Amino acid sequence: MEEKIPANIMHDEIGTKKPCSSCKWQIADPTNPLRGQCTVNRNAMGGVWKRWIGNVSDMTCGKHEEGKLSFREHV
Amino acid sequence: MATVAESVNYKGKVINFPLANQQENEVADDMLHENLARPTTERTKRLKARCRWKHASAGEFIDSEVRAGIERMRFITEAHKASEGQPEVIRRALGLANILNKSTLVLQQDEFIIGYHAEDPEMFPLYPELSYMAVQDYLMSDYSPQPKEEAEAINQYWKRFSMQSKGEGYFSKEDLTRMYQVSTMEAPGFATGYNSITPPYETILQDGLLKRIEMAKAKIEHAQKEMEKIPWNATEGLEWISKIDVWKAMIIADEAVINWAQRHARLAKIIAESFETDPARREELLEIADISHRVPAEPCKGLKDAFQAKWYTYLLCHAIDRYASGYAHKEDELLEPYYNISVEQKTFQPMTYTDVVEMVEMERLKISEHGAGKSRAYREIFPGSNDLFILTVGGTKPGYVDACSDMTDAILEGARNIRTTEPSIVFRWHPSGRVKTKQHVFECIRDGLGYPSIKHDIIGTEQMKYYSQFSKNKNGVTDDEAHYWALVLCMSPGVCGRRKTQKTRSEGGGSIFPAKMMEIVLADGFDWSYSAMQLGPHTGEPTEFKTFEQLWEAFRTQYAYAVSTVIRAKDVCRYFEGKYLQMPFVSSIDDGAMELGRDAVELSEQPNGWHNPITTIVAANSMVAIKKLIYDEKKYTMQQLVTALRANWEGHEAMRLDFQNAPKWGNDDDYADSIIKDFYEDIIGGEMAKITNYSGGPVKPVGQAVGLYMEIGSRTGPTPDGRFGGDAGDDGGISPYMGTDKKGPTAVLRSVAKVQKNQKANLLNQRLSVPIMRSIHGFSIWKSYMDAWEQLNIDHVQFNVVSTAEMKAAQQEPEKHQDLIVRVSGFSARFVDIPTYGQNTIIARNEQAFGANDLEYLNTQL
Ligand code: SF4
Repeated sequence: MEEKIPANIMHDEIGTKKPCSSCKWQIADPTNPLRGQCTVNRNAMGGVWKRWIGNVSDMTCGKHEEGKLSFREHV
Repeated sequence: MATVAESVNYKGKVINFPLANQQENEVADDMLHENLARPTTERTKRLKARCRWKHASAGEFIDSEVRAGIERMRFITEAHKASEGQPEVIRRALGLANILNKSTLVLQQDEFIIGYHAEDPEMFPLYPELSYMAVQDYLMSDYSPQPKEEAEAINQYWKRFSMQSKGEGYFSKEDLTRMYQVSTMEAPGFATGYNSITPPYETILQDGLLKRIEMAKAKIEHAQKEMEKIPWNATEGLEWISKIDVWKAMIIADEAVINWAQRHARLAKIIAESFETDPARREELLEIADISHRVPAEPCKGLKDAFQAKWYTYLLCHAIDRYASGYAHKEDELLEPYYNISVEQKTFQPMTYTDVVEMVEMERLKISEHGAGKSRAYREIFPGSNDLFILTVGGTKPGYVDACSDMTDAILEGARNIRTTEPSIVFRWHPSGRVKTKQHVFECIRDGLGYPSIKHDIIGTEQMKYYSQFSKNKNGVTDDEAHYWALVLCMSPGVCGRRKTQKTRSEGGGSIFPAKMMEIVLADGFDWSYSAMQLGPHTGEPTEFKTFEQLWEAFRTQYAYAVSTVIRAKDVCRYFEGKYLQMPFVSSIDDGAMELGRDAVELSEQPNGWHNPITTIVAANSMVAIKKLIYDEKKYTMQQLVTALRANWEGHEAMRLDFQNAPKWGNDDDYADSIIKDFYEDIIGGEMAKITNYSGGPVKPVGQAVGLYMEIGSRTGPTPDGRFGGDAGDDGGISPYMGTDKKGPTAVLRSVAKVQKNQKANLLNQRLSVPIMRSIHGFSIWKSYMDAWEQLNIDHVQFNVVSTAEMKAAQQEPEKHQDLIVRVSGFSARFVDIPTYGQNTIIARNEQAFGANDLEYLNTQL
């Protein structure tokens, strides 16, 4: 069953000016620092439903915001 | 005003619950923990006030001053370049020697136990020989070692020699990508550097290193004579070459350790003689100098010697030679002989019991200040704490004779007085254990420390005997030795002593995550919610599963793949550890390595293959709901379920509630429990039992959770237990899902007791009522609960005793609640250092009160 993640969540954009790496919702992958995790999806209890970012330099989405979140706002 | 528990009618009597300490009536519920610390001396009060905690959450250090040092990576690299061409084991010894000979020493005000593992007490070391990715992550962070260019060059130099590069060559890109994500499988040790060890402290305290050096020299002399025998026999003679190298490496390492300790002695003496103005402290510094001049070179003669020699050994085994989490030792039995010399007989370093309690408090603060250069994954999964530090007390000696002593009590009393999140303590519970000590255990728990966690003494001891039969060199533990065990990390028992202890976490500790597996089983192994890739084998379209058994077998296939891959990664790592990551110092203090001339990492005498299924209950509750609603009652089809899950239940709330309200684990419900018992015994333990690991034994599940229950939850989409995408998983190996254990504390025990086969090392988290535990009946109720737990043959239990009011107040004003400690999973944490979501998961756990039915079941005498 080959499927694609819905495009409105994140997409490849080579050379983007708003890469996930500079986005406040991005946090590093647990093992490989060149990959990441998007934490923009939050649920009612404050839970974070993450998405894996295969390349933090060349992926983005419309929810990009510059900055860094405090540890309190992560998992 | 403090809340007092409501009265209960029990055995025809009205039982009231006045607080045991009447003065607490004046303490508000939401400030209780701030009123419980009572450091034994002004010194430990000062040490706690200035402690440089290194708590991390979400991969970040809470204190912005904390950062990585460069000295260790600089000196090991220098030695590696200079030793090219020499045997690898000798290179490892020279690396350690170069670090110890050149590193900056740290000696701080008020300390009695001295020694640190980096050039500044705000720093921690890094390990480029392990994982180039972990170091790169630090280089890209706010706490990179400086100068950064030098650190980058060092990491670049090590990349090709690193354990990560060596291990990666034996896995497909696909498997590596799957493991590195940490969603169904933990990343391999070669990619993270995460590790654990049980150091053989006993030899260093009993023998001292000068004796170990003499032993190694005698071994070399003997080997050389054997090689010179005429006529030459190559089949035996050539084997001496590698052994001679191992013994030579031991001598290099031990001489460097003695020199390092004596550098500390000189430093203390210089400060005393040239700088210290307080005469009392000057005397103390001279005593410190005398101790470090003597140990660990010579055997310990008193309790102060023992604390110091133990601390040096800890730093070497857990931080300087190689990183290892944990604080595994049977501390009370290890120190008891020296306690007797100093406190009972007063023949050397005479002390009072109160002096010992102060030493315990000082040791706890050393651990609290210890910094671990862990990879990001492990800075995420112990939120609100520093690292896993877990020591063990209590239990039994051979013949199941009580092993508790006044040293045990001092360790517990010091922990209760000083109130630090770490180190955690495990108490081995046996009916013969003395009540006086159990009262100390209770007081720590009642005061909300979250420790001691309790392990079943007989189960653990029998597990040591079980693993012994698989020993590759037929030298596993004897029945007597089986009694001398401690937890290696949160949950897995391992033997302590002069040999046969676990030397590396490649032996056990591989985590696999059933919740995420449950998700991908319902998508033919595809991960639609997190990584958009095929995350496991193709196990078929779920809508084609005609029977529940087909679903069961599909899950088994996903689980078997993950378990085998994780343990294969462990063993591949172990293979390379034995060739390139030898530990000559550890070998020198292990009687087995010394006798056989084999490196301690390569040698395995006692298997200890415990691996961690985490989030099992989410998967198990999901199985129950699917069986009931789809296959038994046929209220829904699998297609409807798959559709609802893909929508994260949006537009399907009535259906979600049906799945959420299906029977859940922890309520003594036969429908749920019979399926979940099979799930544990047939799949979780059953599939593991088919595997043989490096040490020749089968592997067993040690279900725990650390903070991974939140991390994995955040990488897991919605599940058929009614959980939304991103919600946390279950917080312990066999603990009910938060808020779903609704039938009281004894129903939880009855559910858990049903799982018996193929495993007995699953974490059980329980949250108990504060007013009941702090009442005059607190100890009686808890003790009867513990006795029932023991009789039900349950392996483990641990408790939070903290009120929702206090946790919510701490969320509002964190600065006022620095002493609020909670049990997260296998570790305790400072509540205000946990992310808000993690705090909410602890608040959401059911606070168990004890009703008349529970007291009846426990036969509590009130
Ligand atoms: S919100 Fe968008 S840009 Fe930001 S990390 Fe997520 S996917 Fe990347």
